[in-house]
Amino acid sequence: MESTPVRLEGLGKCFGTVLAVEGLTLGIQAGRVTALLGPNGAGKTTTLRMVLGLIRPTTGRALINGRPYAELAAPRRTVGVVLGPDCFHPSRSGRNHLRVVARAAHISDIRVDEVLDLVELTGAGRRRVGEYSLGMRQRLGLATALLADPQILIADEPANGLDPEGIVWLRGFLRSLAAEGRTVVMSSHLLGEVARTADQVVVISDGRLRFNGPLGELAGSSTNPDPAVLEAAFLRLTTEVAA
Amino acid sequence: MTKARDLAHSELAKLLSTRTIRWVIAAELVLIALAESGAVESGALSSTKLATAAGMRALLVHGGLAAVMSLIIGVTISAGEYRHGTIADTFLSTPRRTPVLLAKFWIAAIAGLVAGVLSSVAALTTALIWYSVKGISYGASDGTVVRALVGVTAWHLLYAVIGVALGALIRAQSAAIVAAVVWIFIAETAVAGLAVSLGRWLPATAARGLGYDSSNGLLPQAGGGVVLALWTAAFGVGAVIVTLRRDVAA
Repeated sequence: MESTPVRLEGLGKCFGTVLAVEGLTLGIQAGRVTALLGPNGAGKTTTLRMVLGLIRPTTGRALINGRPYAELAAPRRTVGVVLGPDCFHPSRSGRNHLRVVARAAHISDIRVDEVLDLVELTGAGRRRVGEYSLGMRQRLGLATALLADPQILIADEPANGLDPEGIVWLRGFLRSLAAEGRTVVMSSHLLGEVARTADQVVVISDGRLRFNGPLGELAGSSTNPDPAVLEAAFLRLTTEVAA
Repeated sequence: MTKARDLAHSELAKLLSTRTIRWVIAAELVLIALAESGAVESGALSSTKLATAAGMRALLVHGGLAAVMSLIIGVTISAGEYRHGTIADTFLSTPRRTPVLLAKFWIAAIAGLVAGVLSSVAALTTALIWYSVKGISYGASDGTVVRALVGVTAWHLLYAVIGVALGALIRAQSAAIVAAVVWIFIAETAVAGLAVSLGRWLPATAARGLGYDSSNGLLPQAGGGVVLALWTAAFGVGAVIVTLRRDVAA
């Protein structure tokens, strides 16, 4: 039986009178890369932040290993999170950013140096984050997520700002995590990259679930997915809603 | 669950891994020296008055007036996290937010204590230099100096904690700092002017009582300390309530 570490049960959120997410119910399985797709403002980030306990749902709940994020005994060791390239203090060095997170999660400085090495930032670790490129900040975000060697990785647009070499590196990295049996969830706008990386696709539009299934069902083939077919399917799913 | 000690270490690492606190404390010390020197050189505090306990108190209280800088340190500890987006990482490590705020209050209190001690030293050193330059002799046997410096230190400590609470309530760092400065130097003075009996119970005026200011109409030192501590607790409780209910959407 497949493990489903992340479950959304009727998850919804209203910001005032604006309905951002409505009644999402789905499970995300281990050992796969699941891509969360949707146009701008579809509710992807709100959904991920509700899963992580940063936003309180108006309805329903999100469970990780059967519990809300806030009730996990060791949240950092359970879930690693890539929040985006703008979540760092620009005057703090990359290494010190990781040390701050490591202190709160009771992780040693040895691990800080290991993850810096893992994302190939060892040489830049003592530089201020304000001097980093967008791609370097994305790598620092990945390093932060991997500090506690979690079984679940949730990444909000992790490929944004990466150069082609970085994207290839990220793809291999995420695939290797899934191959180890970990759960990988990524939101993305880059359909071509999703076609090369994901096993499972969740499409959200206007806060509602439009599709949840294997990549092959949207991209024509699971063994040789076609980005053009995926794009056409994505546009059909999201424009149907708009119309 | 995250241990309180780990959280405190994390907050301390945040504070010490940027240059903000060093620059703010340095500015604080310069301001104290300038303010005291201005008071003496302008004649606002004459040599005759400086020779009295009231004169010494009026001079040393400048060490406490600079506590607004310690309040700014507190604001950066909390609102700085919202400004730079690091608050999400903080709450991912410790999803139960009350311990996060308690750790911030604790670290702010330590930072305020350090700033208060350094400010007291700066206030006293500047005072002694001016007493020497002006040839004024002052006998400190009545404990005036000690009481004033203890008050100044406590003033900094409590203001730093209030700063954390204010930053958590307002979130926008610049807005929180402007709000604090406007309240302390303009709004509260106006309120105190309109209702003298009410004014001394307000936080910035109570703080002057705590700082052993010799002005008329202030609460006694212990009373000022208690009132400011109550204000600090009220701000702290408000910050916890608001933070628990708030979404971290970006």
